[in-house]
Amino acid sequence: MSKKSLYIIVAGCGRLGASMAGFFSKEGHSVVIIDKDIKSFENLPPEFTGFKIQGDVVELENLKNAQIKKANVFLALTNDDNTNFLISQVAKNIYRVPKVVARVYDPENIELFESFNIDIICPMKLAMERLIEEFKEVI
Amino acid sequence: MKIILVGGERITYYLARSFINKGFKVVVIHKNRVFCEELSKSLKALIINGDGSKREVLEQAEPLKNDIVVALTPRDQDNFIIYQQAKNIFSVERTLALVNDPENLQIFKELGIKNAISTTDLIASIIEQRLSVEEIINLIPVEEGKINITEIILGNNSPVIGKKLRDAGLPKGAIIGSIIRGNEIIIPYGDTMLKEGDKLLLISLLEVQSKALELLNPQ
Repeated sequence: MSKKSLYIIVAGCGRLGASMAGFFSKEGHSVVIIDKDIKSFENLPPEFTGFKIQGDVVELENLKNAQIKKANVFLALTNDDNTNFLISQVAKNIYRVPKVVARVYDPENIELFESFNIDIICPMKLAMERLIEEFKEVI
Repeated sequence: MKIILVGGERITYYLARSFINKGFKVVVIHKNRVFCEELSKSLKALIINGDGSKREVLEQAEPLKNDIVVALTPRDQDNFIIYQQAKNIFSVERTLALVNDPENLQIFKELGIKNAISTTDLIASIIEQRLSVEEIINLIPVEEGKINITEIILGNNSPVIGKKLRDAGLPKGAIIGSIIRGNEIIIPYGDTMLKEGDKLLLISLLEVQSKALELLNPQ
């Protein structure tokens, strides 16, 4: 991934979205970050060099402005599972973005996302698995 | 068979009321507790307070295969997930999703939502139909629209009804070429009386067209 410069869209500029956007910038990729709250852009680290779009990701216009057609990677990292569920399918099935990952907050939603073939990351599940791993060694 | 309404504003109440009156069993799921309390006082329906886009909440409504689930929330992403859960997890065959942003209608359809309705589009098309059917029927632009031929029907609120054409006050640059009254076609002159329901063939210069239309059928 580090060889070729990629065009990456990050939806949601919370801590995770902002950090990932900064990371990808630093790695030399083109990044567009979208969030409806202009204040959220304050989360962006100094190494972020990409574009910021203030708007609702559920409005198609904003995804079009982000040139979603060109994207190699789409990260659905808003703080709302329902939003991530919809926009990751828009990115994957309508705009055929090659790599789409959605964040899932509520572990109850994992099954649903997976049944729609969406690649997910569930921080809660990751933390749990890691903790259980720790306990295995102790017990 | 029952009808499960998820989210929405006043429309949810009116829909629930009208379906209950028609003899259907209705379940309402709504996030807002106060609204739920209000509904439970006024409706003979099962009211569930909770986020209907969450599976465990929808589950409380016990959706069955032959039930109807309608997603009415003001957020398209919520309606999308409600539809998909009802359909794919609870195997509800008749599911309906409201689309708030008409631009999302196509998206919903492409993502496999067969029954998506856009109220914005519905209202817009009704307005357009009304405009074209009841009043301005046909617009033929001549010479790049410098002069237009328009069919217009005189509605009952038209101030020119009962007036002679010469007294109607048509602006200069606009004339009535013909009047279609029932089966009769009239080539009018100044003494011709205008009647309700007359279909007029208005020939007008672009600059006075809207003034003429406004005079004949004020909005």
